[in-house]
Amino acid sequence: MTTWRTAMTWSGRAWLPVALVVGAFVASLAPIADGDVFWHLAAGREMVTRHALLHTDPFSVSAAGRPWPDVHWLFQLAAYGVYAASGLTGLVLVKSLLVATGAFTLYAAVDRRGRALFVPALLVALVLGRHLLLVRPVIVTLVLLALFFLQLERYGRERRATLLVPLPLLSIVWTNVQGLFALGPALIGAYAVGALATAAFGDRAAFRVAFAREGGSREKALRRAKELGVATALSLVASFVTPFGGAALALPMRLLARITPGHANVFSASVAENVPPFVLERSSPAEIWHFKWFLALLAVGLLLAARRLRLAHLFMLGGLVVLSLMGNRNVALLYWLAPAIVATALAPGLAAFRRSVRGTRKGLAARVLVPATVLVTLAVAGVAAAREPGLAAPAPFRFPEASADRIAALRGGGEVFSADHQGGYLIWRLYPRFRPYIDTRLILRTAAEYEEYLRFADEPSRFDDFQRRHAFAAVVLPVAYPDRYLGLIRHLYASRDFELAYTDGSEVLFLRREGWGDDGMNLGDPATTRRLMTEADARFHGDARLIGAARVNLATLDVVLGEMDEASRVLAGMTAPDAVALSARVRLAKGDLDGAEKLGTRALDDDARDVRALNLLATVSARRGELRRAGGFLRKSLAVDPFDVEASNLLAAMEEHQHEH
Amino acid sequence: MTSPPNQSSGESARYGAFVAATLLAAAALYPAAAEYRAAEQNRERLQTLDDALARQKQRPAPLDPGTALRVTRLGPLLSSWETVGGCGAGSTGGTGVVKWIGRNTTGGLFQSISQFNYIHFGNGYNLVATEQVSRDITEHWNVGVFVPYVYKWYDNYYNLSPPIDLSNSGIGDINVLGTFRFGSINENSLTAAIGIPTGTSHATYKGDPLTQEKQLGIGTVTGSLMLDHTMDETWGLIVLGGLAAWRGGENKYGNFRAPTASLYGYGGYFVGPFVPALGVSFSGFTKPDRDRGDEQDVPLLVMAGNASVEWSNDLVAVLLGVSLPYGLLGKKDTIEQRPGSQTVTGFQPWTLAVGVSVSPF
Repeated sequence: MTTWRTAMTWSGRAWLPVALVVGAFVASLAPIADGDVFWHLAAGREMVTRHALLHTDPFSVSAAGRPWPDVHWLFQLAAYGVYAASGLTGLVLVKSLLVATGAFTLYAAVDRRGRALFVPALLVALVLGRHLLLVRPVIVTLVLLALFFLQLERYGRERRATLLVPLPLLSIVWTNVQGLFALGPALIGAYAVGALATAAFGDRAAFRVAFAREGGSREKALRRAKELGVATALSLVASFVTPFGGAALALPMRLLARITPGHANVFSASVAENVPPFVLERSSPAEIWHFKWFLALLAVGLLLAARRLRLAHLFMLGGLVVLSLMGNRNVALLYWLAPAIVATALAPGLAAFRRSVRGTRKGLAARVLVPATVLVTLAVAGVAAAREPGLAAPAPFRFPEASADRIAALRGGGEVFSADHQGGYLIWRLYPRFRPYIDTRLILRTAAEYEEYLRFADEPSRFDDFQRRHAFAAVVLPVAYPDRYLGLIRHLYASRDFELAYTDGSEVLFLRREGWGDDGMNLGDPATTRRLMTEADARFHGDARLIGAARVNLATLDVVLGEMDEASRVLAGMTAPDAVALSARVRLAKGDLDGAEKLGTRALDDDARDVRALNLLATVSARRGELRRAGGFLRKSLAVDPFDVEASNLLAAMEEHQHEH
Repeated sequence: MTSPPNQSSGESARYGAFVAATLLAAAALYPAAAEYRAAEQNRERLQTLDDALARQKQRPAPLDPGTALRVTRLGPLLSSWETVGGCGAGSTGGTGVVKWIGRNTTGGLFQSISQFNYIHFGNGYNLVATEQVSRDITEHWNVGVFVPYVYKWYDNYYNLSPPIDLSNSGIGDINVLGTFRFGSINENSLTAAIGIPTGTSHATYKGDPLTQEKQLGIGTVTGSLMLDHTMDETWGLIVLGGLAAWRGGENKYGNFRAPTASLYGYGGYFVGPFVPALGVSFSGFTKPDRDRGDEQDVPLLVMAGNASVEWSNDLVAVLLGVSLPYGLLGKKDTIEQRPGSQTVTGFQPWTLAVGVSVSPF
């Protein structure tokens, strides 16, 4: 009987951490979709080849030979080692293991009375932010954040200075893994300032009505402040243990400057991961819709935890919220630590609540709510992971795999112009014979250089002189994710210097005509369209979502290149809303206003708030000269989404038109 | 209203968390507010366009505005290949003593200036948190409201042993502001403020009223008029101005706060996003303040040196400043002082201020 009870108690307690570890692992299971990992792998491979660290950039054209404070070198060597042993699958699995390990570390740090809240909260946060859990050094940062939090919380409870000893040592690792190493000393510093403030002002009423006072006398608080101050100082000193000296130490400040929001800051305004989350939500709501709700829930959590909230925790939350508001890449840091902090502060209140509702209906509801939330979250994480393609290859549509194969088959070497986020992949596949013009190590580039690069996408005619100066052997561009390069693709398709050597509809490879004997691909040929569709069907093994996305990409490329009949052929028979919307636009582009209107009206019948259809009907009306009717559609469209880019552009065009006439 | 520390009920209130929660809630509401603002602007533009089209007698010429090809609409649960995330191209007027000199922030739906002032006395301190919200209603007119929250702390208030410390806190006098800007480039501004007596003027400790400077208000209507002239140079800014203030006169308890007038000048220098500034002000009082009919030992002419640095970008401006006043003239220059308290002439309580200005939406 006793054994049975013990087992029940154990299982009653154990299911939470097990669910957390499994959930964190599954939530982060996704194929590689971010290009940075490939230049990390290339750097690891190069260091192994040279038996030396890299101090200058060997990989790209635009930063060749420039000093490179490669603070990630330790991560790069480790990642390359994992890849060499087990490929991309191994990298993803190790990443997921690290996330699960970090989650369990946080679990250990949280006051046990708050764990029933912490587990579902962190799981939900991880599932919502799963696209931010990339195979990048930030994963190591998450684990180190958890370890620092664990040691600092244990030190707060157990008051043993030896618990602080590992922190400077961990700082040495952190400094050689990622530029976010500054968070380590900052974290200890937050606790040190909290203890110091308690020692200095803890007896004052103003302090006591503002923050929870840590237990113990003023003398004890002062001793804690001293010990934490020493740990902070040692962690700062540990940050100097880097082969890259002052350049590595300055990196956090340089990175901070680059994510400081402002229209004049091209790195904040144009780099997808640096865009402030509320700005990103306007153009890509699916990625970050949850951030405002997270902040609102965090506010509720703080109110509920008000009596127990310590100054150190407030500092940490404040810093993480500010970092998150500056750039969406930092949202992962907030989602990671905030549940642990709030659960810790709420722990005594939760225990009291549990006692007060024991044996009541409320108590039963509370006992059901936690496992129900965890189960639902696990199910969602499982569905998300199951919807992903395999882990052995990069995520589809994100990397120019076939283009890289074809460039690799060329003789000799040269320079390649590509989208910056694909530069890392090309380095990994083609270095040293071919080097991309740019990649995402933007710290090697000035704002003026990056602006010049972006202008080639936004004003393609500027590319002509530039490409002649560089004599690029190849140009590799994506059709979607993002679609910023469509104008440049159209420009190169019409260029006399380049030939379309390859496309599958999602990636595009242009090769310089001279020295390349083939006539290139003709997307106006129905046989080409049929072949590409067959190849997509075969590649994605009947996965309807991926096949549909591949066809929409191909049809988009056809429209951009003026091959309207082929676009219609690709979209024929497709009933998905995206495909129907594109079909309507194909008809519009062909001048078939009635056909476009019919499709748009049908889409509106299905969904009266379909912004795409409303914009389309506004455009049809404008082209017929029915501007007031067009304005009516725009009114509805902008009422649904006041930030819709197409509707805003239409409105601006109509205003200008009215002004001119 | 008064609360010696050993009697304050600190366990039931933690305003640090409340402030943080309020800020988080405001941030969470930002998208909705920005959306509302954008919707309003769109509505106005569409109405203007529609009115113009309605007035047009002939049929408008057709327009070919081009078509967007981004048709994909994603659900909330994204696959790895559906995100555009990762690295790569994706598609005052001052409040309190320390004055905002630099770029500040303007142009939004409204302007919010939050400022936290720490005023240090020899025998205590005041914490004054102020929130000023204002909005341009035309090119020349701006209206706003200014709400101070005051926390006053004094050590050993009665000079007894054991000492009794004392605090007084609450909302101070709320001011309603109106500003008229004029000149060829609106380089002049005249700001009128009316103070509503919302701050308590009769706080007591064990039945004994606190002296008038420890009250949160005077209990009567106050008012001020401020004139600023800004010289906008390529290298920075110069602000010259003056202020006349009616500080409430005498109330029914015999407390009196004297009228005052100030002249000031500030210069700020542009260093990238930073604007360091230095300034000086002279303030004169018509007569000493009185507490229950007794004249207080306060300076009648004060010079203050001010130093601040402001950092700003498109969204937010942050100010860190300090003000160090010096009493030049008083009715008595030596008085019987308690240890640690100020003298009439010489250095007066200094102020450290941190401010955040945003002009959202």
